[in-house]
Amino acid sequence: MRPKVYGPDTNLGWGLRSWIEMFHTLHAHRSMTWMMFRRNFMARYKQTLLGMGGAFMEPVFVVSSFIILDVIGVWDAGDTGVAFAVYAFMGQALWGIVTSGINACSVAIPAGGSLVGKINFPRETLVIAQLAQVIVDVLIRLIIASAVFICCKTVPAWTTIFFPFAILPLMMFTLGIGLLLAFINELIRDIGHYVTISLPFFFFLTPIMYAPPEHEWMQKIIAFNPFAGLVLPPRDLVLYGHISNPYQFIWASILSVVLLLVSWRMFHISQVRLTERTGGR
Amino acid sequence: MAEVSVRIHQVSKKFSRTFKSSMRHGVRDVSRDILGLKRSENFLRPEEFWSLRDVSFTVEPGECVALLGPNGAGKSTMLKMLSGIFLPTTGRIEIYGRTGALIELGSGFHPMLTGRENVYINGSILGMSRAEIDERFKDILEFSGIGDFIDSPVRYYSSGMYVRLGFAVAAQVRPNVLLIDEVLAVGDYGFRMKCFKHLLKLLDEGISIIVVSHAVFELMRISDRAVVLNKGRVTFDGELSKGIGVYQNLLNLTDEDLKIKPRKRNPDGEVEKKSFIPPKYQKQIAEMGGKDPGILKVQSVDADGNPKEDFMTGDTMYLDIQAFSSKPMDRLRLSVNFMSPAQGDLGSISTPYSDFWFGIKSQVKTIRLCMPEIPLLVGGYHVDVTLYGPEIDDHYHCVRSTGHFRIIGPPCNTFGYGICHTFKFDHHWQEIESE
Repeated sequence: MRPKVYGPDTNLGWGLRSWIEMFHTLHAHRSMTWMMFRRNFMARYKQTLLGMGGAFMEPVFVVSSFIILDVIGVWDAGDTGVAFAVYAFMGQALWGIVTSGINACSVAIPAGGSLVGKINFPRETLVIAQLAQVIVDVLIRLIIASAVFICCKTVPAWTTIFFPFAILPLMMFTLGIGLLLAFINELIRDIGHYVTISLPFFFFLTPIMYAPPEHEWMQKIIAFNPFAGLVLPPRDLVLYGHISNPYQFIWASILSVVLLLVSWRMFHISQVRLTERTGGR
Repeated sequence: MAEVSVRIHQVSKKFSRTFKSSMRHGVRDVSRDILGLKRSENFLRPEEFWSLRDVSFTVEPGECVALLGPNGAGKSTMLKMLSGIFLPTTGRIEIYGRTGALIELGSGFHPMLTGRENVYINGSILGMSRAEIDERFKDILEFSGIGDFIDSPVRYYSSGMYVRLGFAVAAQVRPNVLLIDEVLAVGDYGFRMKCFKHLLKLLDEGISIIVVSHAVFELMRISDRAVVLNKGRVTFDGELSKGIGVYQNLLNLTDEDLKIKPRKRNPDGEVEKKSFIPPKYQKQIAEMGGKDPGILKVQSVDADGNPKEDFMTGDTMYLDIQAFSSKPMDRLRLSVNFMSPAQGDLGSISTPYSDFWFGIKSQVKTIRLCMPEIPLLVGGYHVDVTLYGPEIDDHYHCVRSTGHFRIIGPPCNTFGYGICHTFKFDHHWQEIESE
């Protein structure tokens, strides 16, 4: 029998074997990941007035706000091509993956509580379980979105069928930043905070609440903004039937894959160190 | 089957003392790890300390090893390294087969969820699939004795019910090496016996167990070997009954303030000199508290007066007490209080009880206490010795936590087939026929 060996250099390296081991470990713990997600999900709606129905409250209030802004005309979004409520709500739902995802992932390790210091398991499961929770929230928003489409008499394009694939790069990008923050946060506690407070800046730098502007310098900024390359294409597919800037979507998607792989490996390598330094006692 | 289940070779582990150094070293270490540089560092950086140092031992299949040591000895760190939560700073750990850990019962239990829901969550955390949990759910329920409460949120459970359910889930995991940290004192007596029976069954199946507990006498139920750690190093590896004595003696040695009293000083800060003390005794007297008259040394010995610390229950034990006085004294008396770190005061005896008084004519006198057929059972013991004059308020000197000795056998049996705990009572049994 080959022994399991623990030494100072266990888990190091970037070679193919380490990637195989990471995928194998994650696959072996899929049941745990699912159970951790279920635990968080079930516990969230226990002892609440509306139960799961409560999850619909926030998006309902958000979309109501957009309708009011549109009706009273205080927000000039420019020429969006569709009803503002539909345009803004779809964008806001997708941006929610970024904000909620990054926030949830960055606190995933402390949220794991005593588990982290007492049981040996891949800490990625905690991060993925948190992200899964965010995805459920986004799905709820999309259910509300279908009601908004009906109210605003907007018909989604046929390319909506590609929507699940189009949001994959956005989720990978979010998970990549989330994993990166999850371990940096454990070492230097204020980094995550600064990233979180910077997100509204990127929100307004991305044409989510307004149509893409015609200013040349703003177009350049948006062209180099990976968030724009990841958030806008899925919305374009649903609202317009095409992706406005496919090249941006391609490079942003490649960036997402690379970011996810690199940050996952970095997280995996450092997780034992982090447990020793933070959660081990 | 492998000849060993666990091989620990020259393992050391260091930690940082402060948050600041932890962050500084952490950033550096993580950066080095990501760049793929070697981790092994056999030196300490500022504000680091060795939690474990050059620890080596092996565990065979079907063997239960008790890891003993005072708080901070490195026991839990060792278990965490064996389960892969921490990695060694230097050295190597080899584990043959699957590892299971009973380190915190009910890990991942959510208070808002029912016992049933938590069984599935906890089971998956411990590495069981849903199908395995389904299959074993009935056994888990039966083992825990929770009954209908299984469908109540665990926040309404008593602490006993909580850990019983946690143990019941963990008991279903079938590892090759089981690590247990301070979880054997759970539930009521009946449940504890059920746990021990389960662990004995695992040992019979060839599963190796490494257990950490301060309830040392409970360990005798499942273990016969102890590895004693002190300040991160192995100080003893051998028979459990002797290991318990070594461990309990360590508990006293770490309490240095009980052993050495500060020297009495006058208002100018100078040590008070009551009387002339011969140079050859000055250091010894100072170490024992600087009293005159006072006690110089207390040592357990054999019949020939040679130092001896290991005895068997029923042996004759001798205790040599060396008293000092710079001027002639008469009608002195001694009291000796036998102590156990686990049980506290066991009993006191005094020289006047045996109508024995003594004097010191030439500065030092040794009094030998003879204890035939010592009734103490396996463990580490010590004595507090007090020197008095003839009157009630003639209290000269008290030396605490001295004269350490161990009872190393015969082994205790805690399942009701032998003798156990602290004393062997002189006794006999007889059968009375009912009319």
